[in-house]
Amino acid sequence: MTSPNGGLPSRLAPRHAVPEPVAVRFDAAADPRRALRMELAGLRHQVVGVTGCIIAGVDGLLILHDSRSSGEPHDVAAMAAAAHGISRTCGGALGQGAFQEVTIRNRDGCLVVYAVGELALLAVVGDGGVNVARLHLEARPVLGRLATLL
Amino acid sequence: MANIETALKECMGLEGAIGVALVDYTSGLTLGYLGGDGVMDMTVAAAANTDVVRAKIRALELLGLRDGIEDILITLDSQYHLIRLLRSRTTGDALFLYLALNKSRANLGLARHQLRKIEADLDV
Repeated sequence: MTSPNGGLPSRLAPRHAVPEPVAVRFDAAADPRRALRMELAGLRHQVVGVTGCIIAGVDGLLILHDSRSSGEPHDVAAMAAAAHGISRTCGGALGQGAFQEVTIRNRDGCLVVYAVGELALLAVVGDGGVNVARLHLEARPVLGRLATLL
Repeated sequence: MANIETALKECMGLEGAIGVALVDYTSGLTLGYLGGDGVMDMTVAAAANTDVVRAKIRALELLGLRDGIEDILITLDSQYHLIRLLRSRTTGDALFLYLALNKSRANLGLARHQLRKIEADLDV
């Protein structure tokens, strides 16, 4: 008899036995950001070629990401904020009002940054084949819902 | 050679035309559109039909057919949707003309023939 409960099955263990620490499990249903994650996953599934979605503050700090791409989410968040910065400056200088979106297209992919309310950004990374017009259409309702969720 | 505006106007001149768009199917963005008023948003139609064109191109690849798409016809209960791919010119742009027609008013054969002529004349 070497076990602490004297060899008894655990349910027959003495009352004074110290309960074993329960491993903390990630419970998806209890995740307070579940609704946000669902929105990002929905966008990624709806538009072919989207490899990652990131929500960042306008300060460049990562809030949430749903990335499958190789880009480091924190870096993408910072780049989104930088893109937002130059775009907002342009909007101000040209008297065109608040920032809405900016699309950076490269030969093999793109980065699209949308404003989510005043303080947050949605950055979407896509591969070379992404349907940008479709992405804009699908993103519009998502932005409204994200703004209320945040 | 006609420019985009002229070509779109000619398309809208076809009997039963509802709307027309010239679409870049690498991005789904429109280079120009006319019509669609009250029936459909032509920019949405362009983005959505970009996926149709891409799917067909992918299908040909999977089948191993070394062939090009001339046009795609989709028949609805009350409309015809004609997609005509532009012959890739020197620039290598991937473009298509998207034309929605009222089924009861349009003559499909004539529309398809005229769309071919408009496309041949179009200079982007």
